[in-house]
Amino acid sequence: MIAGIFLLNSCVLKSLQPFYIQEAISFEKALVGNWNDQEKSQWHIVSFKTKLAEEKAKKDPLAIDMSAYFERYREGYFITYTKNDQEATFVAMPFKIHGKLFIDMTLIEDMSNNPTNLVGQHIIKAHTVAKVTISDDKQIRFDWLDDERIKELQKAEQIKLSYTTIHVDDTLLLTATSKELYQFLEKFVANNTDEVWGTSDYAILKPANAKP
Amino acid sequence: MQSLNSSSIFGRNYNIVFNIVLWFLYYAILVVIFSQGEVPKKVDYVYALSYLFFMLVPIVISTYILLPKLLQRRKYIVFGITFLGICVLFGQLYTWYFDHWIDTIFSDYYFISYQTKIQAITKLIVFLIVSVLLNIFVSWLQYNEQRNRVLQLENQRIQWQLSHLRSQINPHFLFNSLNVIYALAIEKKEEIQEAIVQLSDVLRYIIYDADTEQIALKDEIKLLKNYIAFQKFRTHGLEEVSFETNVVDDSFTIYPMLFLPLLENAYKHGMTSNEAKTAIHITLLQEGTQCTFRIENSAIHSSEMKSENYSGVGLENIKNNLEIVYPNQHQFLIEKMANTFTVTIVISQKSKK
Repeated sequence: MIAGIFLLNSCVLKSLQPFYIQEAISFEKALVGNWNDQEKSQWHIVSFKTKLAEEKAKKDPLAIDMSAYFERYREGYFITYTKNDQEATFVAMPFKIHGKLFIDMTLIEDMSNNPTNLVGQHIIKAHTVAKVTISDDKQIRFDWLDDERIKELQKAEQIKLSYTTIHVDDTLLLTATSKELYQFLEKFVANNTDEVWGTSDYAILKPANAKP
Repeated sequence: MQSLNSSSIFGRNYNIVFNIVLWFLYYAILVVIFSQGEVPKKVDYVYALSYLFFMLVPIVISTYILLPKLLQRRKYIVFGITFLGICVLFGQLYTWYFDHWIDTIFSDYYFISYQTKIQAITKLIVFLIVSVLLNIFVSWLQYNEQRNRVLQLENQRIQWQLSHLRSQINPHFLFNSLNVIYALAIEKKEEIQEAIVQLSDVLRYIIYDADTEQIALKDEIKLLKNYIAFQKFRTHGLEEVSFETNVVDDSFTIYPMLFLPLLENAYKHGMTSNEAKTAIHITLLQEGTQCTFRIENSAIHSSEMKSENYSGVGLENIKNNLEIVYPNQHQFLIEKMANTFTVTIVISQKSKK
């Protein structure tokens, strides 16, 4: 249930479709590596190209099939997230808006929520978006966009962006296309300062071999 | 849209109201479309207004410039090409407007999940076509109203003309008749009583019976007979008058006093001819839907033919009268022979009345 723990009680904005368009993808090598966050979780980030090559090298037919499926993410990252000995994998796509780096993350697999079991069948793999800040001391910060920002705009009746709410807990889930989502982010980034990001969810990654 | 005049329902005021209602309707439709089945929100109203302003220019150009300048002047190909050009041009302008300009104008609003470019351009083209068709329809209504007004005026003009033609008959006839009675009175003739009765019958017909659209042919025959009888007092029986009638349907109707002017002319010119005895031969035949009136009198001098103003009703007036009351349903024939002058009128009614 690591994905649940990771996002539990958060108000991170979720979408059925990726937040980026192909033209905006911009691979950032600095993210690759092993990291620890402020909650002592481990982040193993590799280039998706590397991951694909590893899978192909195994010559496992299932792995080869999956690698073909993941070709669309070859400019992204394969993230293995470990917390309290529980592991989950994510695919993350870096992209830029007005020169700033952002990352779109979606869950691939949570070991406890294997898609073949009943629990896994109930999980929709939503996308989240975070602003990425790489500081000079090689720290990386992910600031996720809060769904409160959308709700504020909705309350002011200033936004038309397709969405739905999940029946069980009224979670806001965007249903707009990637093009529309990217269009929204473009204007949102232009209209707002960086402070509107990461108000409820963020991760500060430090190199795993760094001394505390 | 061009106005006819301010009093018309399609006048200037009407056009202003029509355009206000039309554009308000466009706005309402756009709000409904963009709210996508939900209760419209502020963002929907603003976006619909923005789209309305975007449509304003191409619709105004198409309906208020291209339509009157090209389509109504039957320049269909030029109109089609120009209209297509407007669609392409504003399709491109749409890209700039909704991708960039609108975000600058309405910086606080996020118009995201409204429509694709194809949908927006399709809407624009549909609104353009609807506007053009709507304006064609309104122009057609205007044209019909104008035509009706022209027909109404034409009808009034015809009525006035008919009234004028009739009024030309009565005074002259009365003048001649009074002269006859005056002559009988001077001579203290006993026939004066009979003459007054006959004149009275003729006048009753002219004043009361003739003031209708149609009158029975038998009544018109009675008028002619009364007139002939009355004229005997005036001419002292110097003329030889024959009046042959063959009417199959007594209820056959004609326009009142249609033949009397010809009879008047025959007497006038016959009496002034140099012949010792005037001869007037009249035949009136009616069968089916056709009625033929033929009147022949002794030859007249060409100089007398020219003095139509004295004779009262000229042949030209009779001809005009027939054109008005029996358009494309009559023949008017004049035969000028050495010794005789003949006029024939053939009336063909569409249906027997």
